[in-house]
Amino acid sequence: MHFRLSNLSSPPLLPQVTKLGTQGVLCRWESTCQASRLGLALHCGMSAYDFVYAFPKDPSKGYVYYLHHAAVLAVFMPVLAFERLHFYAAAAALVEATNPLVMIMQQIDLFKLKESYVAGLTRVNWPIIYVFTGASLLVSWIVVRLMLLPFVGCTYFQDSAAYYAGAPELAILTKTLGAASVAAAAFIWALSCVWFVDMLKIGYKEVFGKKANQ
Amino acid sequence: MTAERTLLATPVHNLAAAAKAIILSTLACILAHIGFKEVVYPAIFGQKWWFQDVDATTREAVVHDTVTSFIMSPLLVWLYFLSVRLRIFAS
Repeated sequence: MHFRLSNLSSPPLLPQVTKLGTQGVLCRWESTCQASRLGLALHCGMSAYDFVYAFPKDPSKGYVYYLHHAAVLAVFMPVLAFERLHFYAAAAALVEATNPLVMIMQQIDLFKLKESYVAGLTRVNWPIIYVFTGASLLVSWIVVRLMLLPFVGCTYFQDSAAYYAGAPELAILTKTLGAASVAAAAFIWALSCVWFVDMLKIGYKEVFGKKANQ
Repeated sequence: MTAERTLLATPVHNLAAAAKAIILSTLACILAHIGFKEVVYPAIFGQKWWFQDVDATTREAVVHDTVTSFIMSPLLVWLYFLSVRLRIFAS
């Protein structure tokens, strides 16, 4: 197979764009690198794997998960193909950092590790791990999802004003792509807020529910 | 030629490459899933491990979590960090 990620070539920067003068903005809008291409391709592949292989086997995955993955694919595929806005996509996609902690919590719950000891795992202090992981999850959720996504959105809007001020004739395609990206990021941020409230409820029940029972 | 025209002139080439990359990544994830379920977990934990006692849906969910959250997510975060480092305050 004659495929290489470096085949995804970027068009050269043109005079009217470089006259914008702010190299940082240009860099964010038009630069790509091997890491961003590979990351976006893997991210899309992971979402597609969930769609076609993993979710159909798991009845607990409701429509929200499908919508979430559809939003990711709808935005990241054109970003990858058109080689624009890689910086914003990569910055927003750092929200993936919370996934390992979420899954540790889910699996401790799934196997009821904090209540009953399981053969082979008795030497592990699961209650402590559960509390530590939960606290880390809450902190990282606030920083990486609730704060980072709006920050990336604000940066995007600031940069877009500068970008289009210098080159107003450009960019129906890029504007459409940008608007779609912002809409998807807003959707994922709203979902993160809803899930954060759910986590707070669980945490409250864990802490104060146990005290009430005692 | 404007940048936008240049952009419009390239997508067929880029779309094909992007589609190939995504298909390959999807296949890699599916292969990792099958590999963990059929080879890695049984080899590490053996047939008597508690993982063998859970129902099929739970087992699939655990393998899925392993592939997405414990392998892919850290890899993606590292790649994205490399992509954005030093540029976030660049302007």
